[in-house]
Amino acid sequence: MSSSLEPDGTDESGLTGFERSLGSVKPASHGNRDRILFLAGQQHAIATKRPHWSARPFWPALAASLAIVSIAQGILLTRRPSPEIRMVYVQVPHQQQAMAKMPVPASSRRIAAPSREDFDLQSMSTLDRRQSLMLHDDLGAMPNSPVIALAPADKPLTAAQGLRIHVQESADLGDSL
Amino acid sequence: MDPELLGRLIDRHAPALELFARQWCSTAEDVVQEAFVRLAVQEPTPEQPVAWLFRVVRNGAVNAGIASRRRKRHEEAAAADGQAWFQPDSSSDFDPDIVQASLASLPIEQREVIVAHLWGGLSFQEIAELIDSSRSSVHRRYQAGIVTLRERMGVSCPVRSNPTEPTNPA
Repeated sequence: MSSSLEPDGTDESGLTGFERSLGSVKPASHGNRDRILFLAGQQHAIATKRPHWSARPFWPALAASLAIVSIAQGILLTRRPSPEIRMVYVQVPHQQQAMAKMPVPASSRRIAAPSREDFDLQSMSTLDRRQSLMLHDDLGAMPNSPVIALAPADKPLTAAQGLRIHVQESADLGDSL
Repeated sequence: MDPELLGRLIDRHAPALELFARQWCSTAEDVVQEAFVRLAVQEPTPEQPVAWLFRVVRNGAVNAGIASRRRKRHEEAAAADGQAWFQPDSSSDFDPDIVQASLASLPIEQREVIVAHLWGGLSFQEIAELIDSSRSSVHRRYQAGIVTLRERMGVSCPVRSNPTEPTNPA
């Protein structure tokens, strides 16, 4: 394959015979030829069977990208700041003011109670006067319940005491009218 | 690569490659086997497969030798692996054991050049590219190694003949 001459033309005669004799000593080979050929064929088959990276299935790549998105969203969820609590105060108008602002329907105006001057209280009996007062003043015209007003819970009134109080109340009411 | 070509390369160069790898490590068969397997799957096939094989074997043997020395923790592991480097052949002029002992005594820089040239059949230019050196430097190492071998093997009177190609051309 090559010459033993040096590039600068130095004579190396006298060594060639020695080199030939030295080169005639055959190196030993401990390798297994069949095994090398088998492994070479196996590796070649594996290398040719493996698809190119661009020809690999689409779904594994899609699954991997979705997994990455899921992991990223999970990380963002765990690191999300806690929700801010905001307190809003709303001023509610008083109920009576709200009722005053509400328009009165026409039907309510028609059945409105007559004024106190509309009644001729002197010519009415006691019962009629009380009814008239109740029409005008509603329940405010009713006398207080003698039982509720005078009877403590731990000491109930006797029947005689209740009757006496009722008579007194009726007399007071008649005097006031 | 064509299996027939691979088989021819194995038959022709595997022993020389093993001898070459044995200069650095004791697992020369594995290194050579790995090199041939790599050659089989190499795409495209190297233009000079023999030179390519010697380069791969050299790199693999150097790495294997480093790993082996780390394991065994002694410096002479590569040279003293216990396996015979040459076949016992009565027809050769020299005793294989003497050749092995003399060759093993040379520095690695001279040994690799002599083995690659004499038994591997590589030219000095190819060896220079293999070891990243100049052709003249490779030739100097070769000459120095041959002179040392001749002295150690007791060949004091060189036989004069025409300079020729290596004995075992690729």
